[in-house]
Amino acid sequence: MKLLMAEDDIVSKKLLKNFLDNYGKCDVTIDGKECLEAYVKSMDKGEPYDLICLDIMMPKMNGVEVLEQIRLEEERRGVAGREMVKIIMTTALDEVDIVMKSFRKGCESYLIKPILKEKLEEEMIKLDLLKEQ
Amino acid sequence: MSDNKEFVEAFVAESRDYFDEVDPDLMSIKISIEEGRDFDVEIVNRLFRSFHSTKGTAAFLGFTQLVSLTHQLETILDHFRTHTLKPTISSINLIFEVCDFLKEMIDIVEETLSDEGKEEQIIELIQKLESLVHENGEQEECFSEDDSVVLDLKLEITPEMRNSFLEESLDLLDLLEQYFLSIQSDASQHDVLIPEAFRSIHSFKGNCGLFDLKTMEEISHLIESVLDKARNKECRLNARLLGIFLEAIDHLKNGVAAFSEGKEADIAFVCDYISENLEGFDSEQGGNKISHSSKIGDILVNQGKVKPEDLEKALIKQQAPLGEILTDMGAVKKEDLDEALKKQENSQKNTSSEASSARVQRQDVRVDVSKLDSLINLVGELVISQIMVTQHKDLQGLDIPEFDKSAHHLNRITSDLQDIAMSVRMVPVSGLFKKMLRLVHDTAAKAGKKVRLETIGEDTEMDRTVLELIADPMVHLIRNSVDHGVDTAEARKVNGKPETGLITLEARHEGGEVWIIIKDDGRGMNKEKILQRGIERGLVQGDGSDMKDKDIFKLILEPGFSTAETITSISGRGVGMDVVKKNITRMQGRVDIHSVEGEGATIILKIPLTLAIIEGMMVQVGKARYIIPIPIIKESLRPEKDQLTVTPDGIQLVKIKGKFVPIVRLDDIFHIQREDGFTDGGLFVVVDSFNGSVALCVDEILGQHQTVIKSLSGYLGNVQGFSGCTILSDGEICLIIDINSLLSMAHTRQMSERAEDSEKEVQKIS
Repeated sequence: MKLLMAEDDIVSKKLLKNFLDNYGKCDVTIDGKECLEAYVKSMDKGEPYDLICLDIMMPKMNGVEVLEQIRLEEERRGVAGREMVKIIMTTALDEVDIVMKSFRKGCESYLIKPILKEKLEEEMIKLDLLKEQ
Repeated sequence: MSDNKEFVEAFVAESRDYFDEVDPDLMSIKISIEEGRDFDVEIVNRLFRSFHSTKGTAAFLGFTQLVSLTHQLETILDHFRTHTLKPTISSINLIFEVCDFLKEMIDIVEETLSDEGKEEQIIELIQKLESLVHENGEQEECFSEDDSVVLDLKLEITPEMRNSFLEESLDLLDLLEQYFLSIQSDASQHDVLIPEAFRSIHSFKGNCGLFDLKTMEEISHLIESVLDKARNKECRLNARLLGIFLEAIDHLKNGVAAFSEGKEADIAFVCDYISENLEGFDSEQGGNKISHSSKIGDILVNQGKVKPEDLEKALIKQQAPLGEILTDMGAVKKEDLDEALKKQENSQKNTSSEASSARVQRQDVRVDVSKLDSLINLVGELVISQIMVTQHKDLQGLDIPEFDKSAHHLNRITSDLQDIAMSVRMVPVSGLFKKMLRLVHDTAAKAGKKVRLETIGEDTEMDRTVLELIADPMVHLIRNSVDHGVDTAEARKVNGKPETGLITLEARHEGGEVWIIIKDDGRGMNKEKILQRGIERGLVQGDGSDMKDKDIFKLILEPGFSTAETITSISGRGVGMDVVKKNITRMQGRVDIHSVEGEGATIILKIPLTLAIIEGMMVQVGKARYIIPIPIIKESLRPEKDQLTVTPDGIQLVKIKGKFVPIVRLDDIFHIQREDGFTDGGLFVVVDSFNGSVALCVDEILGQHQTVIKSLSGYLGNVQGFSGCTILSDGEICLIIDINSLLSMAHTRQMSERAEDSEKEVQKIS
């Protein structure tokens, strides 16, 4: 499985990377712009990611913007329906507006920090990325 | 998470928006199937995204029931998208059904902050959706055409009788619903309402029997017998029982609706459910508190706390509460029972609150309309006080450039603010138009016709209150167009028209008005027939040969006017158009009707942009100024002497175009004193009232004004003759004339004066 995460906070980054490394190759980006670039590159190469974890509060471009751009990019490339990349928002923000906006822009799931391994796995099972053990 | 009210509210609002979008998209897919075209993949993608977002948010909030259903929808759409499953009429209809159900679920979620209580239906719907996919795997030859043929055949079984049954049943059920609700809220009315309710359910039962609808007959019979007991004071109707009844009514409605589509609703379970509840009710009167909303035994078995065999044994003994028996048998632990009971209570709460919940539609931001009104009011005040300050008489003649600069700035901001405050109340008509799409689809199916609705100008904005007021009239007009306007496919073929009828719904701004134009390409209206009916009913004097076409068509707006020979399920009773007229006049609007026989009819609703502003004509009488609303003004004139007449009993008339119009003197009514030697200017403004035209006599016409209506304060008491007031730019108050109340006021005054006169005469004689 190919994973991509965007996280600027060092502790969260370490923690999440630790989790994600268990499931496959995980690329790490530290701001929204870099994340989007990494995504576009992977699409160009024809090696799309299976899962992207996005923090919301990030420098240069926030998570919701990245989410929006990724979905636009997919639309441009004719990727739709179940083929769209699964995106989990991982954030400490739980304001109604942001949560609703994220779902509106098309994220699959929304996890509120602190992120626990069990919670993450549960979501990944729901998204059909992991099999239940 | 799901107890977080704020989140749920946002979710509810958002989901409603999504589902509002869904109907038109589904319709367009359906149309493309009917026309044998390929559907637009973009639409399917959009639908997919809508369900996907709803699913995501529902999962976030822990609404697992909603998740499972939307997930299944998503799967189907994904199949459509990848062309592994071909959409058919029936599958789209099923999706419609699921969406309707989801809308109900959203209502429930809003009420109860939980999505529980409808598990059975959800499972059923999921199974139906799943079977769509499986069916496809087994028989790929299932073409869409076949489906539509089957549907059409079913529709033609007994159209006429069935239609009248449908209309009547739905009316009866609506009536019953109201009775039950009033019985619930007002105990003093029981003696009147219960027999009424009994009669209604009795007729409904009879109807069902006639159509061999056994289940529905049985359900209504059960309700009837309880009502009979209640009528004879053998039992009392409590809130729970009424809740059950309301729920049953909902199921009956579903049953009737399903029947109208030639299907049979699966409502047999309702029957068992009700009879079980009613048994529970009987024993409850003996002190038993347990009810059977969703069967307690089932809950326990499902939880694995009770073995099915034990349950059966218990059921045999079920004279005492089931839960207690099970505990006695040692088959269930006390704690488990309590838990199950709690669960049962919850699900019961859900179902009953659903039945009575008022469904509120809303857009993005929810603001109390009264708040908006006071905002607009305050902005109005602000504008006035701004003028008062910047044009204050103390400032006159002073050379204060800096102040002028600031004043100018203030000017600009207040006028911007005023514009925005006005626009806040404005919403686009698109929401309403989308609902009409569904309405056309449903009514066309009921009438067995093929009709397409085209909408133009959905972005047109209008005042929210106005929009709500025109919703009803539009429903009536659209139904009329489908039922009477558009002719049957065969007739259309004969006349060389395309088989599918076309109704165009257009909204646009025209001056200070919004025009809603409803146009069909049907057979048009029969002018002679309308005229003839008008003469029969005494609405037309003479033979009507001097009437304009426009006025003849307007006759159809009269209460109870109908030229239809048959009353169908949809329309023909001549009630609807009356509502149209009433609602439109209430908001100072007008209705125009054009029709060309054989080519179709056009109905134009001309409605003022907002109720807060009217176009008014300012007139002067003596020193007082008044505003007359422009829409009621027919003409203004300065009459020649020979146009004026006085009848023997002292009523002044003016002859305009061969007709006598009574004169109303504002100066008399309002006791306006004039300076000596000055007589009135003799100008007449002819206005429309409920009792025909009258001519208002004024001194001068000062011009047209955009008038912001302010209501008269309560402490003025009941003011007659005025609908409100407005504040002029010089700070003075100007009253807005309400012609109808003005006339009744003039009338009563005349009466009392005449009585006085005759009294005087009597005194003289004596």
